[in-house]
Amino acid sequence: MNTLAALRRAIAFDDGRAVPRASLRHYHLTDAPLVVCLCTVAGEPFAPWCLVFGTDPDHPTGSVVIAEPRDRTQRYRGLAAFAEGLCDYLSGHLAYDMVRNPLSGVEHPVTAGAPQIVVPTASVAEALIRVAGVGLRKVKGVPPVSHWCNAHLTWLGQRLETDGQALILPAATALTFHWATGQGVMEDANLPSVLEWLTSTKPTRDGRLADIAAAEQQAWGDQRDPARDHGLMLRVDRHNKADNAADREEARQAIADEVLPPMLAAYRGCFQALDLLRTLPEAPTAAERWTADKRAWAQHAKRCDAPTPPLFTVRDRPSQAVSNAAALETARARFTAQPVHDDPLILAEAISAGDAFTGEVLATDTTNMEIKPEGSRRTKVPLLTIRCRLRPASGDGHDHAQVWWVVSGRPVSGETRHVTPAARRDTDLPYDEPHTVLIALLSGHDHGRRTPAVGTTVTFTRLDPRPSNAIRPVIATPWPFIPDTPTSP
Amino acid sequence: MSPLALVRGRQFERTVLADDARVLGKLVGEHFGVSAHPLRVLDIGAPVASATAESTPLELLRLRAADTRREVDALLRVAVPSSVVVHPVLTMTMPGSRSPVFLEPDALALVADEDGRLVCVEVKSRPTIDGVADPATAGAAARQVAVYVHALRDLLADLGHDPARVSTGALLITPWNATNIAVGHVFDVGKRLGSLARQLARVARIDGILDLLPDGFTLDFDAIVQTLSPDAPEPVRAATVAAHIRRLPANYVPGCRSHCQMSEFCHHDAISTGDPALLGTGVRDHLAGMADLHAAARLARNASAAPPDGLTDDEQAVLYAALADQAARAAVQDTA
Amino acid sequence: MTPSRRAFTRLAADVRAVRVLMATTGERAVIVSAPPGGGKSSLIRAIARSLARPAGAVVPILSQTNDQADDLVVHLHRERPRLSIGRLHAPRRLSPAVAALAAVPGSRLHVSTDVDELLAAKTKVIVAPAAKWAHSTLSRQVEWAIVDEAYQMRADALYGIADLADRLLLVGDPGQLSPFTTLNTTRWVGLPHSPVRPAMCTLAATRPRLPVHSMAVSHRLPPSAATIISDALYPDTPFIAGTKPADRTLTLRQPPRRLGHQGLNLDAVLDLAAASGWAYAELPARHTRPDDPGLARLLGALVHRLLQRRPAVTSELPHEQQPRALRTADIAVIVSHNSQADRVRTALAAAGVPAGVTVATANRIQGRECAVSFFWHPLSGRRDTSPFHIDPGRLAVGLTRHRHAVIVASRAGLDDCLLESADTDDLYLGEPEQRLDPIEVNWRILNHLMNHQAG
Repeated sequence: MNTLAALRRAIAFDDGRAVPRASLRHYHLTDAPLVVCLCTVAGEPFAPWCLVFGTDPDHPTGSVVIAEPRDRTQRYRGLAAFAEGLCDYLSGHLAYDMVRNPLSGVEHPVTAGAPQIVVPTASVAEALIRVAGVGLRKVKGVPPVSHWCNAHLTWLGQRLETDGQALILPAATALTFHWATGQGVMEDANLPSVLEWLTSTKPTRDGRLADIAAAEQQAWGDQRDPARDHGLMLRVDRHNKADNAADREEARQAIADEVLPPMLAAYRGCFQALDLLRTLPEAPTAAERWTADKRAWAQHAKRCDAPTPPLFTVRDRPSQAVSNAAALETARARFTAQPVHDDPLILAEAISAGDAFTGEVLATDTTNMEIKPEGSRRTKVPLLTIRCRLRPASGDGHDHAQVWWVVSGRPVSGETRHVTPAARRDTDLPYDEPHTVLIALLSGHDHGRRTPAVGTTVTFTRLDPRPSNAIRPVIATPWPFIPDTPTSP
Repeated sequence: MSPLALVRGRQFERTVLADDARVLGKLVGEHFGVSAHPLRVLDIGAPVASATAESTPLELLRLRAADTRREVDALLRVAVPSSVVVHPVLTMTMPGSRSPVFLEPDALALVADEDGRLVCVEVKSRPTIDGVADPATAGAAARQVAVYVHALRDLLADLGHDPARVSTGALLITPWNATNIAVGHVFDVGKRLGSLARQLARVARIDGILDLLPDGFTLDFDAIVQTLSPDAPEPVRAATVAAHIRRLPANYVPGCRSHCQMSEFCHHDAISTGDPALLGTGVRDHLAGMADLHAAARLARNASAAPPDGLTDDEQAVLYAALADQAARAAVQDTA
Repeated sequence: MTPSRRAFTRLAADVRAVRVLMATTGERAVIVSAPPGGGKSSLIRAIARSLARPAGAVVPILSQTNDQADDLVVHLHRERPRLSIGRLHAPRRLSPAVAALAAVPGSRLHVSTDVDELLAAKTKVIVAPAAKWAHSTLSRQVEWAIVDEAYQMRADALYGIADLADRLLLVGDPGQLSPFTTLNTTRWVGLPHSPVRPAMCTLAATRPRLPVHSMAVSHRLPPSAATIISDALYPDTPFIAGTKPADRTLTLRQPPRRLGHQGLNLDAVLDLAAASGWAYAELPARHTRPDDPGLARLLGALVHRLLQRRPAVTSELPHEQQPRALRTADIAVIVSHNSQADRVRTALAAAGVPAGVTVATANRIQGRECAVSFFWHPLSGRRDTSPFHIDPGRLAVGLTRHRHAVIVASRAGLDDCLLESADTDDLYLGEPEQRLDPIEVNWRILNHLMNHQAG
């Protein structure tokens, strides 16, 4: 959180309309994502389940209503229908070729593209993985397609934790990354109300707020209306107490009448969200992240090239946990930094958060030569003097803090050296506390040829646009991670 | 909580307590290292012998509390291992209060380790997924059990038993994944017990809290409605009660919506007043010093290179954020 | 015996005790827990030197940050210029100060990104952050590796370095801020080998019987601070001050005047701090932005006034036997957020304080020491106690950097903030329990501060 992020939300609230917080789209979107909507009531895993999925906004491929999920037969039969649909969609992306990296000589799998699953919210994604992933693990007597569905969803569930990935995309999360609404974070996890903040056509604020309040009651997300839950409960009761097939089917239909319409609306809502996201041009690094997604998917596809589905451990082994933590933290650092470098609107929030500062170039010295601490030769270290309106944020206060010039193309890194108060100018605001900061450019400046011109406005950030993915060497689990089994005396 | 969740919760509890609490006994045995069979089950929730059809809910609670007291005493004296008291009622009296608060743990189990300790058991219907108990549920259970342990220790002291025979370890029972199979988790409330004791010590007397309430404040809504004419229409009655409640200052934060029944009322008020807390504690902190969200938005819209004199520190912070925003939007326009 | 002589003997005894544990235990690690200013770094250097004595011996030392590694190297080199020391570093992570020491002709301090190069140069002690060590392998068998600030190490860092040597000497301060992760995943909840837990918690779970030596004397904290800090923040590893109240003085040589700032009498605050080692300065209650400029200005004014009054200290240290005038470098301002640090820097400059005062977040200033510190109370101006802001480790860092006095500044209303803090926290079963109850610790410290309110 930072003052600008807070302010954008305040403005959205005051207007009754969402405020853009990005000018580019930071998630890659494929041409034909598979939208999957699942309703589990208020996180209650025993309530009726309803699944709607497909790639065509007007015609879902399939819909499943499971009136009593505790009835295994019903549950497995319903989930198998969904599993068919999911595997059908994914099978188009499972073909891979082995390609040799010309530099390292290592062979790795490559797929033509990758699938993209779009769900309404992050909690739906988690519920989906729970019921159709975990819920189908090691279950006997279900068709093989269900086990494949389990394998794919378990894998996607783990991928979901990688920041910036787009293989499984919660629509509400993607929308609120690009637009600030005037509601709280918890309400932002509700796709219908997020959509209303963006699309309500009412002319007045009151009218728009009324639309949003009504949308909140539609409840395809976390918020549920207790009165409707009560009605649903009575229908489930009737279903469970029915003593003949006809009555049970009738009760099942009554349940479907209750749960299916909102799921169909959620299904359309996901496509509406995708349309809104497509109005933004894709950010340069979104393609880079999608390449990482494809690489990960290709590995998964290769594992799936077997007669039986790969087995996923539920909990990470020590070595897996360590490498996963490193991968997740790197992905987080990337998705924190890259949109800042790509997008001025996101950069503005980074400035407000103290992660970047902006100013006018007063002077440059492109002839300066220095011996770097670990070098022995004198090399070119261009110096810039930047004038900032306020004291530039100094991050964690390191004397020689690493910074990157926000510029398109190859990253240019440097370090801040001195911050000193500067003389006031007539054009300064009365509240300005002008400072100059001396920056030494250390890499990417092309022997001093790639430096900003005097008089231009530049921005530097301490967010590294290319955080390294420190892959740790795989070693046998070391002793501190193996419990000491006490030997009896 | 959804009525559906409530019903399912009760169903799960019945599963755990069915057949003389077979499942519960098994889990107590598993987690406290003692065989729980054969199990002696005393259900204090079953109709109390001394109760009559006319007994009020409060009277029933009193009777169940008395039964609990007697059964716990007997249990500890005879130390019959593997006994379980289901639906007990404990009491806690706040200093300065006339009547006790009644507490209803799901069950108490006497485990047959060397000390013969009492263990609180809490049954929750949120499932354990992949071995991880729902953290919100576990947090709530720990807060509840800390109060039970506190009350139970008072009871033991009162009965002349060693209060330390109440274990600070407790058992949480939940369904496993999407099934009705029950799993148990042991957790310790020792640390929370300390903070509870400290909080209670600060509430020196309950009348001290009552003194903080506005004059004539009551939560007896019938009493409020009775001040109106009997034919007052529903909207008037509702508005009167709402106006009365608003005499208490609210401290709404979005998290309230996941655990407080009053939260929709406060949420609604936060929208109509433009309370920055509506958008979360982070927004509230960063917009400190703004009268409300509208004031912050106004300040941002009017931000310009010629700001008015005399802006406060907080207003200056908003001004510079707004100017950064304007510059960014201009940069986007330029490239477009 | 003089206090500094006492400290020396005390350290020698600690080193002997740890060496005995190392020699006699059959376990694969020895833990040394030290209070703030307990002589941890001196102990590490002494043990490193003695392990390095045999011909051909190599002693790896693992720090948690580059700054810590640099500090260690500079101290070791200054104490024993003849000892061959290596600073192993990642590309572009060499500090100019260390580079300069290594560049002196004939210097026995070597720097490299490659451990084999350092071994070829016959360095006997090699220092690097754990993250760098995780990517380096020693081509020869080493019995002991020393881990500095072990309580700040995360389990995944331990994973990468555990097999660097046969056995580990883990040295650290259990009361400071624990390592953290920005990941909000439940993926490893309850796993004993969770990579994002503190490494010491992993060891406590898998090797509960590791031998522990507790250093029990703080040579930094004055008696005025040692007792309360030990009671409130180190209940499991209590410690005492190594000096007596009379061993140290802080005098303000310019007499007080009634200098008001935002309604506070600055000199009253400073005089109380000089006399008792503590002072608490409070501005009127207000819910503020996290970077509250008003509180920053108060801190700026206090630092400025302190320097203006020509402060001088005496202590057990040889160079402080006679009153030594304090300079800006003797003063630190400790905050919780980078934005607060920036506000304080602006305020210091505006108040006319010369450069040199350290302004740092609690995370950054761990392990460092100063004569007088100023502490921006983490809960100042807040409406709620967030887990970050009530972390006992944050108080521990802020209140244990000083040798003479600490001045805490805050908005009023800390008691209300603590009282209204409702526990709605989630509970992750199977995760290690918090060592201390944060609210309890905050109350105890607040009660202590209220007894030292001035201005």
